[in-house]
Parts: sequence; C-alpha cells; structure tokens
Amino acid sequence: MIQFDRFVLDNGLRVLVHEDPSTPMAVVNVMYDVGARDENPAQTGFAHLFEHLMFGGSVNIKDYDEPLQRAGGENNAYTTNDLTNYYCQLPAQNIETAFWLESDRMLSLAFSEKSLATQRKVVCEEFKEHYINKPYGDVWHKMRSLAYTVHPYRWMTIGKELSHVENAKIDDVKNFFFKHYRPVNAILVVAGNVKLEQVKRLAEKWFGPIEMGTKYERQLPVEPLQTDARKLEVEANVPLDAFVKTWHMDARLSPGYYAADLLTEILGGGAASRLYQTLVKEKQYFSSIDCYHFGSLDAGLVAVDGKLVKGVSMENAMKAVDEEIEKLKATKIETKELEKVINRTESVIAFEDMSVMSRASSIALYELLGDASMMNTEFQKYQAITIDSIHDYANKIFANTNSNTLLYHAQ
Amino acid sequence: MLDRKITPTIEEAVHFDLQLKNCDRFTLDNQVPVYAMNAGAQDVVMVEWVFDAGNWYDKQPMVAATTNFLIKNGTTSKSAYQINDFFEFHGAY
Repeated sequence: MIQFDRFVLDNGLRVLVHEDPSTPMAVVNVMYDVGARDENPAQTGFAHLFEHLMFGGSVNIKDYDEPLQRAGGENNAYTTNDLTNYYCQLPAQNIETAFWLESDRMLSLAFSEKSLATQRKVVCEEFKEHYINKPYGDVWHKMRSLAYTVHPYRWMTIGKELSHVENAKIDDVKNFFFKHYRPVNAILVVAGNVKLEQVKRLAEKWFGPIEMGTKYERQLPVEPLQTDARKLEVEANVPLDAFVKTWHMDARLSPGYYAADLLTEILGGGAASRLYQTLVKEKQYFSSIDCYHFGSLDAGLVAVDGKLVKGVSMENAMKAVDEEIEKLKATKIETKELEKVINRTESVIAFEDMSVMSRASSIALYELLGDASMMNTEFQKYQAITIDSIHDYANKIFANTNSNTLLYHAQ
Repeated sequence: MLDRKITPTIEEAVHFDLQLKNCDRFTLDNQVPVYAMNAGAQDVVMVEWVFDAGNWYDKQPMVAATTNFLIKNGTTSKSAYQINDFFEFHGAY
C-alpha cells in the first residue's frame, strides 16, 4: 500500500506527495499530459523533440544539468506515444534546487535558435541511427502504419518522417510548448525524504506563480474495428529472416487490458513460457521470440516477434506460431499456469515499488489515468482474471481478421 | 517577488552524514559466509550467490560466461524447463 497526499495549486497543477523517511534522497517527477498521439500528423516527433529541448536552457537558467549535478542530483526523461515524463533524484537536503530547475522550465524554455538547431540535429541523428541505419530499425514504423489507419498511434514517438523534425521552426516549438507544457496539463510528484508541509510551501513558491494555461482537451480519432487480416512483406539487408505479428487489444483501463497482459506473459514471459519453450527450445525454429504489449493508454497492440534460425522457412515458422496461438484459443489454460502468470505480475509490481523513483512515476501515471489511488488496487484487477476470461479474451483478440503480419525477409 | 536567477543554497555532498545500514553476518556449517540485511518495507527478498569464478579463472575465452549461462539450462535431475518453470511460478527472476 503506497501512501500519498494530494493537493492542487490555483493554477491547476496537481501535486502528489509520497513521504518515505527510509531514504536520504528525494525525487521530483513532472509528468506532462502530452505524447506523440497529440501531435499534428504533419508535424510528428515534436513531443520527443521537446524532451531534448527541455535540457537546452530555460528562461532564467542557462544550464539545467550543471546545478543539479552540483546538488548531487541526476535526472532523465522519456517520451511515449501517450505522455512525457521528467524526473530527477537528489539528496533531500537539496530538494529546492529541483523545484527551482523544474519550475523554471515549466515557466518557459529559453527558445534559443541555437538550442533548437542543436537538438534538431541530435534527434535527426537518433532517427537515422536507430530507425534507418539499424537492421530491422523500421519494423515498428511499418507495423504501426499497417495496424492503425486513423489513430495517431500510427507513428512512432521519434516521428513519422525525418523531415518533420528537420523542418521544425522556433514558432512551432513555442506553440507546442504553450499548448501542452502548462501547469493545468501537468502532474508534479515529490517523493522520498520530504514532508507534506515542506512540499506545499515549495510548490506554492516555485510553481504557484506560473500561469495556468488552457486545459488541453484530447479528441483523437478512434481506430475503426479491423475486419480483415493485413499483411506486409519486405526485403532488406538484415542477417536473418524475422517477423512481427500484432492484434488489437483493449485500452489501459478496460478489463480486457489485464487479460491481454496475462496472455502476453503466458506466451512470452520468461524462459518457461509457451513460445520460447516450443519454438526456440523444442522445434528450434527461432533464435529468439517474444510476446509483449506497450501498455498503451488508448487501444493498443499485442505483439509477437521473432528471428528465424537460418535455413528455417518463413512458412513453417509462421505456421508453428499460429499453432501456439490456436492452442491457446482451443484449450483453456490450467490453474497452475494462471497462478504462475499472476505470481509473476505480483512480483514485478513489488519489485517496481522498491525504488522511490519508480514509485513516484507510478503515482504520476495513475493520476494521469484519473486517480493515483488506482496504484494500490491494480493488482486486484489481475487477481480478478479467471481461466474463462483468459480463454474468452484469447478468442476475441486472436481472430485472424484482427491480425497484422509483417514478414521481414533477409536479402 | 521571487527572483528565479538566484540559485537556492546547495549543501555540499561532503557534509552529508550518510549511514549505511549494518548487515548481519554468520557462517553456515559448510563454512559459506552469509551476509543478510533487512531493509525497506517491500515484501520481497533478493538473494545473491557470489562465486570465485569469473573471467579471471578462464583457461579459454568465454568458459566462465558459458558456464554461467548453463546454470539455468538443466541439472542432473531437472530439465531447463523444470528449473525455469519453478522459479517463474514463484515470481522469481
């Protein structure tokens, strides 16, 4: 049970405080309710570009990292299709340094042409390094645009096209910032060796004077139900044949999400999972195979991906994957297998909660989802999953008409 | 009026009085030393076995790493699947 207090500043900034006197550290976590799904289709990659610009100086502070490091702190950030999260951890005595730094970049970035030019280059290189030059690097570009026709999950956080980031202008960047990076669209979590009254005082002092901004009302196109199997074959200069197959699953807060999560564990969680045991160890068709999902807040994808052992035909390999999926649809799982995946999930949640940094980001995520206290009831939702609900859900999502297959042939 | 150009006072890390929690130490009948620490509120246990068996002892390259990899790939009485399934069932990784 994770304890926390919550209050809201007059400018709409939600603040959550989690006291943990067992650590000498403090964590300051700022989550902005903006991800790649909120981008203009003609200007993708902006949410992620911002993650970089946020380290290029704010209106009153030239350099973010130097003072933080002097205070004994470290920091990082990540952008997903759904949200952007910035966090830093430092000795609790120096927590005000984090308030000073984070509030100044929420107040306004410096928006220097030089910083934009630098970060544009950095992000373009990241795009080329990971998604163009790297073997299999374009798999998820192709898969996302195959599986989604209208929803903005059809592009990756790095962006749909290199040109969108290359052409980013300072005014576009400013508009994006003042639309999304406002107190009313943000959540501040302060955790560790801190006191509620101290956080209230510091939050009022540093974040209180920032103008509220306009609440961003998300109105995203809903992906229509897929009614026919989709398939794409590509050939590229890669060492081994590979594939990715996906099926649409339910959104983060639906009961189906928890069934889907357990299904990915049954198929791909660990070395004793079904796909690994059958296809890597016994049949030896694949050198690696995984089953996972992205925890997407809107309706997401369950994915299976694998690399074929040299000499195995794509046809046989895909047939073997389909057989495992069909087994799951035809025969209900045993009680012991359900217990195993629920135990694994309980363990992951417990280990995640060990680090104060990860507790802080979880509190922020559940607050973004609507209620931070859901963090404490999350495991019950897994416990409510039964053998029958797993079976029904497998039959619901693993329909051929709901599938997208990308076959990636080595030249 | 708040002056955001002024850096809050930073306490230098060398002044911190950081105390690591003490650990218990005892020896098993077979002389294996055990170090134990009860810390944190979480309902989890972490166990590590440390062997004097790293790359330093390699007579050929990769032998230490390969041996390590084989730890979870079968014993004289249990298959890799049985070992992995057992640990995974108990939520261990």
